[in-house]
Amino acid sequence: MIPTISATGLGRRYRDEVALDNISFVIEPGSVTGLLGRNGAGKTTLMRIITGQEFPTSGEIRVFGEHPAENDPVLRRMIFVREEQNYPDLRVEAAIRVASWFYPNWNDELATQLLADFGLPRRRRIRKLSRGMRSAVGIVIGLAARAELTLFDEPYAGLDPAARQLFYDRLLTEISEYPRTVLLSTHLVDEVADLLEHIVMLDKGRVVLDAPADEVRGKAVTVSGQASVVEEFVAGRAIWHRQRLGGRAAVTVPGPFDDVALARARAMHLCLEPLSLQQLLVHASSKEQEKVSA
Amino acid sequence: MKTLVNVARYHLVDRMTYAALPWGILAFTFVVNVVIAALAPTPKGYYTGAVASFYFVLLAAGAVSLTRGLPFGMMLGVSRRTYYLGTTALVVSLAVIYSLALAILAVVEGATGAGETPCTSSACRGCCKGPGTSRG
Repeated sequence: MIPTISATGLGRRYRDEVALDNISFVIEPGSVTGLLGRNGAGKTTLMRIITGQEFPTSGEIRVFGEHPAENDPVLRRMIFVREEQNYPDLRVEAAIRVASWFYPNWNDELATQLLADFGLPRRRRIRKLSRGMRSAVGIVIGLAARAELTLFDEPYAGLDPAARQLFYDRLLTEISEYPRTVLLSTHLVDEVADLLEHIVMLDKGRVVLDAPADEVRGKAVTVSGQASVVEEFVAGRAIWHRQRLGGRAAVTVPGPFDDVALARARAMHLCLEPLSLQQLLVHASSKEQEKVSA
Repeated sequence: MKTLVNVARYHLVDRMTYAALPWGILAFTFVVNVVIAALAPTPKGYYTGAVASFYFVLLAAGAVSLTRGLPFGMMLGVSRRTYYLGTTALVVSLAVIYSLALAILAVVEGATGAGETPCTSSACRGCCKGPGTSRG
């Protein structure tokens, strides 16, 4: 099967700044991938290259097996909803109508439903909307387009938590009803953690993590309990993080833990807590920094 | 091809900019000029250049189509080339229609006896109409 997106040694350099450095990864059809990373990690640059809006300075990008740049048949199959999208001076309903012309699988009922869900005034001009409402317009178009490849680049600017939850819920129902490949860039990792099947994490323009989400979730554990017992338990493992408070300690170590280890932890009255995706990524990026400075 | 037509349709959603605004402003400048010519007649008449307002409005519309229209088009997976071609096709069609309309208006203007070549040379003294003639 042709991967939806494949990047090989992809690089993007602006004068003396490296935005993307030798990036390689593959995104399979029908998956939901989280593109994670801190501000300035290169997420938007990468998505702009995938959608043919920007050109790599080295390496190769292929979308549906072809180069996306100025390639209409490929571009027609994707939609790119970005943060702070610039809209022409149109009413909400006009923008929705325009978008519907460009997508063969466009679903009008869904668009109408989503407009109502987000409480968007159809007759209002987009330029008069608040930031959050403008973001919601992008989300409505992105979901209703039912494009084979849907890219969301931090599409929630200004959206309140309830509306963000609505977005995640709708995204989940939509992809189960009408499967498609989704690439979602975000730094609100824990909010979307349950949605993601695959994770690509960028840091300073490089891929620091590229793995199935399930694999990442069990990757590290925080062991807490009486300090001496904790130290005994984690002996021999790489220590990611150590915290002490009085006689107690909490130590973060990478997994996996087999049944024997888990039984031992119970016997030693230790508390094992898997690291959330977000905490894991914070660790991953700080470790990367150590590697760079070392 | 379908995408190209869609790009043209996309521009026309905003009829205000491409149809109402240029003709509205042209009509407005015409009325203002007629009023000025009636209130303050000069022996040589006026050369107003009012039609230029039409061109400038459309020039501004073209600029806006680049800064505002293109980003939304690209969000919807339109390539820059297709956007350019679709926009150009629309602009050329509008140019044909609008120049025909302007040509018809010029004929009408000529029939009223106004709008002749302004007198710049003393050799053609007497070819001007009387005071109060407005020239478009």
